[in-house]
This record gives sequence, C-alpha cells and structure tokens, in this order.
Amino acid sequence: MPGERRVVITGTGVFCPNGSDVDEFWSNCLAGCGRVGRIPEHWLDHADLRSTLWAPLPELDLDGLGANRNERSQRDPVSLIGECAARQALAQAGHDLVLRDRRANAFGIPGVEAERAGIFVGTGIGGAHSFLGNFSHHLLGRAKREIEDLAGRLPPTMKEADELRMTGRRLVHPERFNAFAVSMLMPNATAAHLGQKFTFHGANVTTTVACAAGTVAIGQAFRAIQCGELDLALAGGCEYLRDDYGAIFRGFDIARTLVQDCSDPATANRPFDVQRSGFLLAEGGAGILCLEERGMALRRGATILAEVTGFAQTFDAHNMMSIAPDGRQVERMVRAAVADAGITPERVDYLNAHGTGTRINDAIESEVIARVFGPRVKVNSTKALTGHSIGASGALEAVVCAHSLAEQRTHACVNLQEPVADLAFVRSSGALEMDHALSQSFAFGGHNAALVFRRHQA
Amino acid sequence: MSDAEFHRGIESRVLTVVEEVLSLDAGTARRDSSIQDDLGADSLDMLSLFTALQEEFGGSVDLDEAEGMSTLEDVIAYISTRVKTAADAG
Repeated sequence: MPGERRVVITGTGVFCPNGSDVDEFWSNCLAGCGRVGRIPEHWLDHADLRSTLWAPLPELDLDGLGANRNERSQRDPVSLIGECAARQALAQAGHDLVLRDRRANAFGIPGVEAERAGIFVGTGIGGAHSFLGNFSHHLLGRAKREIEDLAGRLPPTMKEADELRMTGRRLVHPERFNAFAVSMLMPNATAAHLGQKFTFHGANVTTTVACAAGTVAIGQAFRAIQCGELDLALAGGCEYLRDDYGAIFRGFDIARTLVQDCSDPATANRPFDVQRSGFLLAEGGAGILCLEERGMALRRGATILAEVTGFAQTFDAHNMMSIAPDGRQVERMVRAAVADAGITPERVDYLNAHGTGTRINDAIESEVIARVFGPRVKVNSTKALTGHSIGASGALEAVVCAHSLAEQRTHACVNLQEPVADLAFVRSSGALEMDHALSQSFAFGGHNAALVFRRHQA
Repeated sequence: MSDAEFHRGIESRVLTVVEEVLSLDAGTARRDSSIQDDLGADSLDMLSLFTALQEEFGGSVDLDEAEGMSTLEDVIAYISTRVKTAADAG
C-alpha cells in the first residue's frame, strides 16, 4: 500500500539453552544441537516427578553484561537474561549505547528519538522465581531456625535429633527477604528494566499470554511502528522457570504436559513424531528483536534481516489447558495473519510451528497446517532444539524466521523419525529458497497468535 | 586482630559497598560524608545500601535501622556493633 509504514528486523538477540548469544544459538540450530539435562536431583526430595528432563540454561555472564551491584541483587534473572538478549539485538542492529546515567547504569542510543522508541516483552510467569524465593524465606525462615534450635536441645545421641537436622537442611530459602521483592516479581519487571536501561520513553508493554506471549509482543510492536506511534521497538519474550524446589516444573509435570519417556535424553524431545510423549521444559530463555520503521533503517544504512508483514490473534474459548480439537480458531488466525501480510497461504514457503511435542498439540496443528497450506510448505519446530521456554518461545522462533529468510536456509526438525502427518517437515538443515515465512504460537488459556515475515529485498 | 584493625576493616568494606551502590568514584565516600547532602542518596538509595550491606555482612543487618542514619560514620558504627555482636554470639 503506498505510503504505508513498513517494519523491518535489524537485530536479534538470544539467551536460551542452546545458545548464550544469537550467533551460538543460530549455529547450534543449524547443526541440530539442543541441550538436554536431568532436573536438579534434590527436587525429587519434594515430589515424585514423572518427567526428569529439562533444557538447562547456560550461565549468564553478569560481568560481561555490565550488571552493577544493585542490578545483581534487585533484578530477577528473567530481567537480566532479557537485557542480555536486548543488548545483542541493538548491537546487531548497529545501535551504539552511550552511558546517560551512571548511578542508574542507563544508556541512550544516538540517533533514536527516545519518545518514539518502545519496549514489548512477553512472559508467562514474569518474576515467579523471585516470588517463590521470597515466599520460601517468609514461610520457612523462622520455622527452620526453630527446628534447628529444637534439634540442638535434644540429646546428641537421639536419632530424632539427626532426623530433625536433616529436615531443616531440606528447607532451602534465600538468606534474606529481598526489600525489592515486589519490583522483581511483577510481570512487567523485564519491560520496565529494559525501558530504564535504554531510556526509551515510548510505549512499554508486557504481554502475559503464556506460550503465545512473545509472538503477541512482537505483533503489538509491529502494529505500533506500522501505525506511526513508534519508530523503533525492542520486542520479544523472556522467561525464567527455575525455583529452589522445582515447584514450577511440577506444575507442568503434574498436568502430564512434559516428556514422559526420559530414558534417552538425546531423543526425548521429538515434536511431530508419532512417539512424542510431551514437551521438554526449558529452564528459561530470552529472545529480543530490534524492529524499526524501514525508512529509518535504510537511511542509517542498517542491515535488514527480514520484514514483518502480518500479525493476527484469536482465542479458542474452549479449555484452559488444551487446544480446541477442531483447530478452527487456529485456522482463522493463520488465514488472518496471511491476509494481513497481503498474500495467500500458497505463498508461504516456510512455517515455524508451535510444535511442542505434546500428543494433542502436534496432531491438531498438523491438521490445520495441512488444511490451510497443504503439503508444500516446509515445517520445523524450534522447540525440538531449545525446549519449551513458554513466553520466550515465540520470540526465539521469530529470530529463527528472521535468520532463515536472511540466509535462505533453516534448521531441521530434529528427532523426527516417523512424522505424525504427511507434511513437508524439514528433515535436514540446509538451503531453502523462501520469500514468506510464518511463525505461530498457541497458549494455555486458549490464545493463538501468528506473525508473517518476508524476505527483505532492497 | 586488634579493635583498631577490626574497625578499619569494617570501615573499608562499608565505604566500598557505598561507592558500588551509589556508583561513586573510588575514594569519594568518606567516614564523615553526609549520606543525603554529600552523596545525594534518597530513601530508596538507603534501602539499596542496606540490602547490599546485608549481603556483605549477613542477615544481622536490619533494614529498619537505615531510617535514622545521616552520616557514613553512623552506618560504620552500626555495622561494627552488629558484626561484633554476631561474632561474640557465635
């Protein structure tokens, strides 16, 4: 449409199980390398878990991040991994950071009007790690001291004294109740942290639609730039799913959503395979994209990875934890996203699926893909490599779409031996000619969202 | 360790924490500095400072005590007392 503002991706950043930066992430994706590990052994002291695997995160380099003393103690890990991804996205986009406020450790970006720059972050559970840590201190702090006092008053030879001490040792909690607990646990903490860090005064939005949160955040940023409200946005998703006792993991495990067959960690995570047994929960993840109005990006000579061309979302109104069996709202959503991009479904060359590895999701998603796109579109699941990072997953998959379009190649759908449906799954990493790509996410609650991307040609 | 060495050690650690929390150049924080007038710290900065002092010296540091302090000398004296009390107790 003449005069319509176009939105392009100029930078990407990632911190997730198979990459502590976007280059490592993308090369591991292309090489088919994921990261799978056993959950912390002491979690099994507190519950009989059915699933015992997850995708652990690499260690975050706080010195490399430049985190000061206050940030280390007053930010939830989800905000710090979000910053790690955001800094990468800005650097890849060619934006320099200039220190603006030393005490706040905050920066400005030359050439970017702060009032026309915004933040859009999706998350499923925000700072639940901080909530649970402080809650465990609140609940257990005094009780643990009383147990230890009681054990100390018993005759040392009594076996009950040892048993009490053992019980006390299992009551793990942080050393103190953090005075900044509220600003760490609130879902909008990551978006607020990024807004402060880069001194952006435009819209600062948090989307909390579970596994679709990252996709919706990028979609909303796309709209804000398209309609002229903003010129630049950092958009994506961030999630941190670890707690001291494995309670978050247990929440997914008890609902029978996680991989049930844990005998072989290397092949347990197998989206779209007939032998799939659930999804592999990630310890967390962050994916952030730098979106810019195309004219601005071109004027400053930025390298454009891809263009965002379409976005749509629908709601199942069916079940809190299961996708509607008829897939009608998913179908309506992808058709709307494709129409928003000004194309027809036949023109979509590559589809990055939600592809969790649960029996229900993959079956219904495959049917919808077959119905709307037919057997020609190439399909893969990034979760086969990253595990499922809930609110960050859609953003990591958008990063994959951007690099796939830029480099005209994508990663394989790993661990896929016997496909659940007759679709063109990407069976090996390599070259793939594509002009249009679509990434879709479905979430607990019933939220569906999709983004459409186009190969950028000058 | 003599009392003088103990107090010098505490003072040095407190001043370092203050400089880190308030992002000051090394040597800016002095024993006789006024927390508000010389260092520009507000009530939230004091909460950050005492949170950091808890990390540095352990849980015996009480956040409520931050409210009545106006100079770093007050802070150093308070921390010295708490650390000494904790050491004597245990």
